[in-house]
Amino acid sequence: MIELKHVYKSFDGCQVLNDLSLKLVEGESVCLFGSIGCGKSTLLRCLAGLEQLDSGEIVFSGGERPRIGMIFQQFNLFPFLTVLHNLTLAPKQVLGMSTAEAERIAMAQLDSIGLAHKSHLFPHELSAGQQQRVAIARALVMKPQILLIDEPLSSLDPISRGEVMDVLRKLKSEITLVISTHDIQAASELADRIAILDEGYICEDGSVDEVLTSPRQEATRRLLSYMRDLHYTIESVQFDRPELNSRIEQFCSRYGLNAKASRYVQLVVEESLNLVPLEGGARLQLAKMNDDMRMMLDIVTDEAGVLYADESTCRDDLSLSILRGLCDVLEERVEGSMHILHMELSKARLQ
Amino acid sequence: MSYIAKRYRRPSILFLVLLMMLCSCEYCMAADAAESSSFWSILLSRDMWCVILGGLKTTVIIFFFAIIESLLVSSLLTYLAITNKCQWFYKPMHWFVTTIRDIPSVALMMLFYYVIFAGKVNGIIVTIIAAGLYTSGAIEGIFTRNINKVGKGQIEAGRALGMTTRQCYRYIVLPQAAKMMIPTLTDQVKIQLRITSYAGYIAQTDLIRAVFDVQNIYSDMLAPLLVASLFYLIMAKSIIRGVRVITTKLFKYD
Repeated sequence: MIELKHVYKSFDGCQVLNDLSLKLVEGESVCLFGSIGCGKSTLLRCLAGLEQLDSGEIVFSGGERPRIGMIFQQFNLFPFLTVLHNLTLAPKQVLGMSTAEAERIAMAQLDSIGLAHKSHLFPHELSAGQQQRVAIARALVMKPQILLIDEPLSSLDPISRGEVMDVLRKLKSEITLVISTHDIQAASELADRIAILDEGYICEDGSVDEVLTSPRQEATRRLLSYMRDLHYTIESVQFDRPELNSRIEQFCSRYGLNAKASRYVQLVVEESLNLVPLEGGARLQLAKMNDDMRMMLDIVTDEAGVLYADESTCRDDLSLSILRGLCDVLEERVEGSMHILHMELSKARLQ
Repeated sequence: MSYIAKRYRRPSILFLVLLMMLCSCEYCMAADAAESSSFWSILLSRDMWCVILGGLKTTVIIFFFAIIESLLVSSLLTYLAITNKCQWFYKPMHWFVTTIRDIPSVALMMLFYYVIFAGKVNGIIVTIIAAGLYTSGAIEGIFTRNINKVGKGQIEAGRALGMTTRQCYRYIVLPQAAKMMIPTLTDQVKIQLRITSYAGYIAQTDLIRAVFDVQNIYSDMLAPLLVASLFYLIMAKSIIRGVRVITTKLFKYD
């Protein structure tokens, strides 16, 4: 349906898309995966015709550009128009529909996403999830053959997320979707195919199972690990503790752990940080194993000298004994200049 | 009194009418019988109204064409600024209209009349050109600032829906910018009205100059001054309402 061939795009000398090639097949749902700034949004904007390519080409089957709709991360609804008028503006101005016809189609579309009763409201009177659904409806009234969706769930709370996911699940069977997302769970649910973007090109492209369970490329493995795990860098002793706790809570909630388990993980992290000298900074990685309830915590520093988990040299005896009680495994190792404090959290406490 | 209060609901106009009545009473009380009738006799004299209305006509003509010129020039400059086209024309023109705002408007008008056009062009036309250019820079700033306030995302959303850039500006950007620019644009249009009163400095009989002409005839300026003030007030109020009605109706979603 659409083929991108050796596409290059740069902004102010920064190469964003670098020899990118990708095929989109009609009726298929493709998820674009990648770290922040890897070019996912730029790729979608190029497909939507909002950006000009530096070089390369986009080939459309039949030679004619299909109708492409795009939904933005920040929704971009027109704030001065009601929900209904947001939906009727383009059909009237672009397709030349009469007001009555445009309103009839818009109301039918709003009805299908469950927002017909909100048609008279302005965007700021809606929740984020409702705004995202209106943005989807606004794109759908133009009857697109391909719908490009940029980070549809990134700025939504869990309830809004559920609302939008419902709509996207329905859409999957009706239209060709290209979705850029960080959300592995959403991608595995919505995508037929996943394309991994790394440094401006597609480094891996395959079915959901292939890419998520047995990635071929090192870049994909790194990316998936980064997306699944919690990575946090501590710059100094005065780091943002509430932010770390909030991210731990989000991480736990992503894996369906309850509040009690989440507090347990926060406690382990807090006690373990008492053992580690934070003056020179530290890196924290919290990983959840796929196969069972196991959860690993690694704290890495660049100070290879003193042992952290040894009674004679540790910085805080009390924290050490608490940690020993809280974790199934507590060990440390030195790899080159890196000092790694490794913990395996108690499965019983996580359940 | 209650009739006047009902007839003139606008407090500022009511205030001026009351001021006129108060002045006439003071005249009656302070001066002798012959002098006390002078206020009303001047006010009711045909000559005064001829001169004042002549001045009003000149003021309205200058104001009307100056504001049209100002809107055309500022719209053109805004278009060039946003589209980045014809920078060879935009940059010097933008510099010119922003720089002349630092010159006092009376001096600017005299400079245009006596130096640039060397007294060879009709004073009304010179006033229109000078006054129009004087406010162009400010109005261009208002247009550009408020258009840029509407996020780029709005235009991109329009384009993603298949609208042309022109349609995006017409139906998405301008309606939002228009609402935001009403207060500052109204102020600029009122400034434009104020500048027309300097036409008298280049020998044009505008409303203010007409007041002095009446004073020369009757040796009294209170009545014509109050009438002229009333006209200015009515024009200023009409401008406020007019700008609001035009900007909201013009870009109203249909």
